[in-house]
Formats: sequence, structure tokens, C-alpha cells
Amino acid sequence: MLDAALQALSLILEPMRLLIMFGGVLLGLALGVIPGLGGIVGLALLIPFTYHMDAYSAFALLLGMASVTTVSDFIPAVLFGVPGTVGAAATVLDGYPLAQQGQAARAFGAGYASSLAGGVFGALMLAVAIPVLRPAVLYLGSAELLAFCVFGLSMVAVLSGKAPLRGLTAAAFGLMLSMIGSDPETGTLRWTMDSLYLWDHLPLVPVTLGIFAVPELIDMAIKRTGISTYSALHAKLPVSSQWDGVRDAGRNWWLILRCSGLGAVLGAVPGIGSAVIDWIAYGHAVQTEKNPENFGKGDIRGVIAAEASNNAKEGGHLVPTLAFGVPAGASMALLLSAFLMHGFTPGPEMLTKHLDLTYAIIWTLTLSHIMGALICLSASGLFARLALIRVGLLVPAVLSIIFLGAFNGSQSWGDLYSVALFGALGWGMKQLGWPRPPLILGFVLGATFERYLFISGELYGLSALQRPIVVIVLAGAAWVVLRPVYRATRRIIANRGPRGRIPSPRLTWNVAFSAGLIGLIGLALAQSADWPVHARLVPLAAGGAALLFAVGTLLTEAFATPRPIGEHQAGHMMDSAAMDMHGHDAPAATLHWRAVRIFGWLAGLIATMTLIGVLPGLFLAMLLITWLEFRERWQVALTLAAIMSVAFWLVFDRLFSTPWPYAVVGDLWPWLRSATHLL
Amino acid sequence: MTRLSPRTILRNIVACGVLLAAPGHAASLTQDFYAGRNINVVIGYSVGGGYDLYARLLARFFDKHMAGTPTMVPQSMPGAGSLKSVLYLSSIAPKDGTVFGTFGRSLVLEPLFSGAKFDPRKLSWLGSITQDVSLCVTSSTSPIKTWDDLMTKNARMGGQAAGSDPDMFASILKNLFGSNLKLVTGYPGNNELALALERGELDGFCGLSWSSLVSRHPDWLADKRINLIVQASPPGTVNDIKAPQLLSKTDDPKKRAALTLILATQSLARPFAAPPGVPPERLAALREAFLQTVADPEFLAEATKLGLDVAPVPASTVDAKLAQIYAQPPEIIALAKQAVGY
Repeated sequence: MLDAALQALSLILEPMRLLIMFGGVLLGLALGVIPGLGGIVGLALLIPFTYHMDAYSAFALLLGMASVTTVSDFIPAVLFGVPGTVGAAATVLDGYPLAQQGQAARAFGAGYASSLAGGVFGALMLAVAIPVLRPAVLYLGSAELLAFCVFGLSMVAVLSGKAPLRGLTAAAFGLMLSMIGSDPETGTLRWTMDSLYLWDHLPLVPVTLGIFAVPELIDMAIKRTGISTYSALHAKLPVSSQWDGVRDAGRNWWLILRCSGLGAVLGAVPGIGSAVIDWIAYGHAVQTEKNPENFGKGDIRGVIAAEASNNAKEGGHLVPTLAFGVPAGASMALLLSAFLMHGFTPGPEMLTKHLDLTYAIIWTLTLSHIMGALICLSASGLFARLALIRVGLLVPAVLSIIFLGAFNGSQSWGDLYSVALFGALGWGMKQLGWPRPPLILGFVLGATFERYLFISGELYGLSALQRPIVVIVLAGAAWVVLRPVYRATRRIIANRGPRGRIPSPRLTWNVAFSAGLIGLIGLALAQSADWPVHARLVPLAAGGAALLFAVGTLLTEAFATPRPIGEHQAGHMMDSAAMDMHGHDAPAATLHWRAVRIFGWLAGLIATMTLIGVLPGLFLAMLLITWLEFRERWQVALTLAAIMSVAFWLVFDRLFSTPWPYAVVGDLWPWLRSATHLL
Repeated sequence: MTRLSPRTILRNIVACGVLLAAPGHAASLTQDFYAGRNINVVIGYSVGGGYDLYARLLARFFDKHMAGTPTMVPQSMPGAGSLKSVLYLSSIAPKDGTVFGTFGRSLVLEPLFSGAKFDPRKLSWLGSITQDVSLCVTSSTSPIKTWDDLMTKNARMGGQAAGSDPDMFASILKNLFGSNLKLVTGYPGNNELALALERGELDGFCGLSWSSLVSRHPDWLADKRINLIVQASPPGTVNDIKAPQLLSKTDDPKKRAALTLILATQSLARPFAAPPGVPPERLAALREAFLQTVADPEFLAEATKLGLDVAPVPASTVDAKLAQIYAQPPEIIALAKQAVGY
């Protein structure tokens, strides 16, 4: 076995292969930085180019690319609060505040070091597990998969911060969102509103970008300060502070180890997915580390936990892919096709006859993580300078990238509407102190949860509870949920003061928000009335729970005694970047007026794209927003819009041959459509 | 637009005649049209699946057999089990011969079964790259070893979703043949079904195509890890797969007619079609290029390397099959619909 490992290493270290891997790493880093693009896009792009390569080079290229997108996705998360891939959302929580406090370099150092450690850990785990890979995967039946889903969902308890009711409402609402589409069992179309787009469920990328990325940009546009004020003070980032970050990572080696382990193990479970692994690791850190109240305010441990798990999962993902050809995530499904294309059948052969390829893959994972981390570490100064870009140029450009990234989700109008709608929802939640991670947890795990609930119900019934892994994982979930409940109860009993009169109800934005949510949930539940029983069961449970929690939230909000300002944002801890409308130089009226205008621009952008096509619409929007809203000179605005649009066109039209959705203008003048292929 | 009018047929015949009479002229017109142009190949599934592999392979070799050597551009358009792409091809896509695409084989039955709004007979068919045989298999460790076991014992057979191949064939066994099997549905895909079979969570599953069995699970056949219970193949199929034909299990003429209707989709296993109304000379060129491509030795060598079966079905056969399917009396269609569990 050692022979195979060494032979594989010598194969990988051939200069040409190293060069190919390096090319892959560069592309991967670039894709990771751009919100919405990541390993999946890269694989779809590169796989056709590997036809004529030998297998080792092909996987050096493909995995070199895919494994480092999770290293660089960290950069926009820290600088702009915009996660580069779905796996970096948890990084924003502490990484962005760190950047605002002028500690971007420290965050970079700690992030890359933990990425590297996590990536190598994942590869190592895969290497060590080879002899037991198949038995281990065979041991994970539907009941175990269900238990892992429940464990993931239990993290809602930790990630709701000090607003448990709101967190639970958000999680249940997320579960409902995951049920949109054709039901896996009966084929019933649930909440699809007669649109083909929703038939296949809401795509993940537009929802994550809407919930986590758009709100940061809106706030940046409203506050007009962006990150530049902070970073301008610290423009000359001392190199040493980056090493401070690396040292931080070293000090927290035990946390890195735990989160890497969590990432690698959860990565191996099909259906858990990268969008929640980082949150689960983050939740774990909050729950087990000392002084958890610092999390969310720029605690370096938050960055470390999220990044270590996010990078360790790649090794885990490969476990079921190599051993059984069962892809553990969307990117692995693509990789699977690359295996088949090169004549390898994932399964027992990968662990016997093709063991050298398996080891080559492990080496590729390790080496590409080292390359990626080194490149990022040495280029940090360059990235940090991005933070100096004026907010008037930054917001329109990044917003356009986000819209195109979201559009890449399923390449239809629906993606653009989704990112805008969820952007508005996310901004509302952020403003009002509703924790957003539980929503994503429910949304990502919901479909898998329902699937395996029925399968394991039919196959195992209650005997599932006699399976050791199920018991252990469920016990873990119970511990996660019950510990904070126990503490909170003790605190409430201890602090119970004299009972006052119930105050008369108040109408706040939060009351209105809860009421709106209740209306929406009620409407959705009413629609489900005529579905078959099996299609209705889980949506009804999720909807019922959402309704109950939302009513609870409404009542507490309406009848609670007004709290002193500052404590108002109950979900503050988990949503620290939440903006305080009153804490800035500009008067509140100006801020409100700006908010209204920003949403106007967003609506205008959508309308323009529908009218004249996605790319022309983005060009016009960038031009007008930069010029009129941010008062840049028109020459500057035009240059920005032109450069960005040409880049978009090259990447999306030429490189990805994106089928642009049809716009009104193209319907009116078909010759224009056939001439440009853009409308 | 309704069915083919005699006039349209006449027009096509005249067009063909013109083509034959003046091949040089029409061919050069087609050549001029395609020179420097793109042909978009719309794929109804995301990258990486079987349909995608076939379509990209075809696209790689298609251009050199096509007049004017156009640039082939594969485009993924996944959605609603490829219904999105077939609706796009039927109604929205340009009808000038610059687009063709691929979609799920059983979609041609959707208008009959679920009232989907398109007519597969109107599409300008290029043909199918291969035909397929679908199997029901059980694990060798399962007590279900034969057809009779499957009929009488309580087998746990896996499924993916209403309307998918595994569910469709398991439903046929239940609804037409009175099997006692229990359909446990909701697995995300074939890979997960295979894993569930290996770990003994399921007795087996249906809808496994022979080509994926051979290419993806060579050990299953070599080590006798599975029982081949029954094969679902169109009437008249002759092969050396050691499993009885589904059609041989009933003598009832109505059931046989309903089964034949469903099984016809197996002969358009990897279908390719352009939008309705493509100009006849361009369609002729596309069809010609299709047949030449799937017979190209380089294409075949690459297909073998990828483990993809090639057994081409020409457009005329597809058109004839569809005409046959859609000519069935309503009671047979109703029986077929009930059999697959709609």
C-alpha cells in the first residue's frame, strides 16, 4: 500500500502534471473568489478538456481546481461580507467584522492556515480510511442518513443565538422552502405556482446569495462607507499581522482538528452538503469554546472553525464517490462522470486495481491545498487592496457579479427573481435581528430529511433506533438542543423578577414582519389541502411548526416590554453585521430614503433585464447606478460598465456558452436576437 | 398546428424530389447556411449524466459530418426531468436548423399520461443513438431470486420518484401482474439504489439499463452478486441476457398492447430531435450527419472507451414508433397509464 502511495506521488510530481495542477489551482482560486461560481462550474467547464489527457493529469487538473475554490471563497467573505461559494457563508460572521476592525490580514492568515490544515486533514483521513472505506460506507443506511440530517437541524438551537423563537421560525420556514417542487414520492407539484422553474426545487446558489450576500451590499450602499473607511486607515497592512493570524490558527489547533474531523465526516454523508457543513462546525465552536459571546463580533475562532471544516469536507466527499460511485454532492456527481470518461469505474476496483489513482487523487488534494494557501498568503496584499475600491464602483460591480452568479444556478429568469426576493428577505431579517443561518439549515437539509424519513420509515420503522450510529448521532443532536435549553431555563428561573402588568400591544417593524410571514405560511398551508397524504405530511409538519413559532414571535414582540436601545436586536450575536440605522453620521431620513432608492434600483434592474436581456440590462444598470446613485463621473461609470460587461460576455457567453433567457426586445425583433444571441 | 396534413406530406415529398433532382444546388445552399454558424445542442439534464455524455460525444464528432462544418455548442438546460428542454425545443427554439437537443426517453409518453403540452410527433427527429434493455435485479443475498418469488413474496424494491424508470417498471409489476412487491421510493438516483442493494437495505430495483449494469457494476455480473429477474424490452428483441422478457409473462392482448406502448420508449433510449418545422433540406442534412456520426469509427472507439452503447435508430423508425403509440385506442392508453401508476 505504501508502494502505491509512493508511486502515485512520483507520478504526481512529474513537472508537466505539477504545472497542470498549478493551472487548475489558479482557475479554482479565481472561481472561488467570484460569488456564485465554484467547483461545479469549473468542473463542467474543464471536464471536456480532459478527454485527451491521461487520467493522472486529468484528475490533477480537475481536483486541483475543485479543491481550492474553498480556499479563496474566503476572500470576498472577509472583504465584502459576500461568500465566494455556498460553503463560506459562516466565514462572513466573524471574518467581515474582523475586516471592518482593520484586521483583514489577521483573518486572512488564520483563514488560509486553517484551510490548509483542514484540506490536508481531509486528504489524510481519506488515505487512512482506504482499507475500511467500503465497509464504512455500507454501514451508512437510510436510517443513519436521516440521523445525520436531524443532527444538522439540531444546530438551529445554537445558531439562533439569543432569539430562539425567531431561529426556529426561520428554520421551519427554510424547511418549507425546501419542499417547493415535485415531491420525490408521489410526484405532487408542491407550491410550484405553475412554473417549471420551481418544479426542480429552488436552486441553492440564488437563495444563499440572496440571503447572505445581497443584504451586505444593500447596507454598504445605504451607509456609503463600505469597507474603505476602515481599510483606508489600515491600507498598509503590516505583513506581520498575517502571521498573527497563522499563529492564531496554531493556538487553536484543537479546534481546527475537531472542525476538520466534523467537516470530513459530514462531507462523506451524501445529502448534507457544503452549504451547511460550515454552519454545523461554527455551531460546534460556539457551543464548545470558552467565551462564546465573542462569536459574531470578529472572533478569529469563528473564521478558523468555518474554514477548517469547509476545506476538510472535500476529502470526505470523495469517500462514497470512490468507494461506491455515490456522489456526496453536486460537484462529486460531475467528478463521477470524469471517472467514467477515463475508463474508471468507482467501486471496489478503485481500492485494489486502481489504488495508485486513488492515492494520486489524495496527493492532488494535499498538494493543491498547499499551493492554494501559499498563493493566497503571498497575494493577500493585493486582495486587501480590493477593499480600497470606492463603494460607488464596488457595489454596482459586485451586485452584477452576484446576479450573474445566481443566474448560473439554473440559467433562467427564476434565478434572477429568486436572488432579488431572497435578497429583500435576507435584508429584512438582518435589519430586524432574525438569525439567517437556521433558514439555510432548514432549506438545505429539508429535502434529504424528508426523503430519508419516508425510506427509513418504510424499511426500518422504529427498529432504526436499535442501530448504534443512529443512536450516537441522535444523542449528539439531543445534547446540542438540550444544553442551551437547560441553561436558559436555569437562568430564567434564577432571574425571575416581580411580575408586572402585561403591557398593551405595540406595532413595530418586527411585528409587521412576523405578521407577513404568518400570512405567507397560512397561504402555503391552505394550498396544500388537496395533496395526497404522503406529499402533505412533512410540509404540514414544517408549516405547522413555522406557524406556531411565528405566532409565538409575534406575541412576544407585540407584548414584550420595550427594551433599551442596543439590546433591540435580539439575534445580534448570530447576525452581528446587522446594521444599526441610527448609529451613523448620516441622518436617519437620508438612510431611509437611500434604502428606498436602492430597492428601486434593484426592481429597475430586474425590469430592465426582462426588457433588454441579462447582459445589456446589467450594463445599463451598472452605468446608471454608478453615475446617478453614487455620483461618480459619467466617464468613470461608463468605463466600469463597459469593462465589466465585456468580461461577463467573455466568461459567460464565450466560455460557458450560457443560453441567455429570452427578453422582450428579442421577441419583438427576432433579427436582433439572432444577431447577438444575447436577448 | 395539428397532425401532419396531406399537404405537408406532399410538400415534403416535393422537397425531397427537389433534393434528389438538384442535390448540388440544395447541398450548396445548406453548406452556405451552416458555414460559420453555431448549432446548439440542448441537453435536458445537468452535466455528467448519461444523456449529457451521449450528447457531448455526439457534438464532438457531428461537425465534421455536417455540411458547412458548423461549430457545435452543447448547452445544458436541466429542468423538470428534461421536460423544460423538450418544451423549449417544441415551441421556443429557433426553427432554422441551428438547434437540436436531447431529453428523457419516456417524455414522449408524457402528453398521453400527464397531458404535457407538446406533440413529440411534430419534432424534427434525428434519431436515437442507441436502444436499451431495462432490467429488474435483486441482490444474491435476497430471498427474491426468480420472477415467481417477485410475484409471490414481499420484495422491497427501490424507486426514485413518480414517473422515473425504476418506479414505472415496479408499478407495472404491481398493477399489471399483481406482484406483492413493496415500492420504497425517494432514492436520489441509480447510484444510491445500487448502494442500497449492496448493503441489503433493499431486495432490488427495476429500471436498471443493461448498458449501465455492464459499465458501472462489472463485479455484479462477474461475481454473480445479483439475480436478473426480468428484462423489459420491445417486442421482437433478441439478445443473450439471461432473463425472461416481460412481454412473455402475459397473453392478455390488452395488457400486451399497453406494455408494447410503454416499452416502445426503450428503442429511443438516447433521442435527438430538432424543433418542428425545420426546412426540409437542412433537416435532411442533419439526419444524414447524425447517421454518419454514429457510424464514425472514431466516435465508436470513444463510445467504447466511455462504456456507452451504440445501436442507432434512424429518424424514420422513431417517427413510425411515435405514430404507432399515438394511434392506440384510448382504453389501451388508459390501461398503460394505470399500469405505470399515473
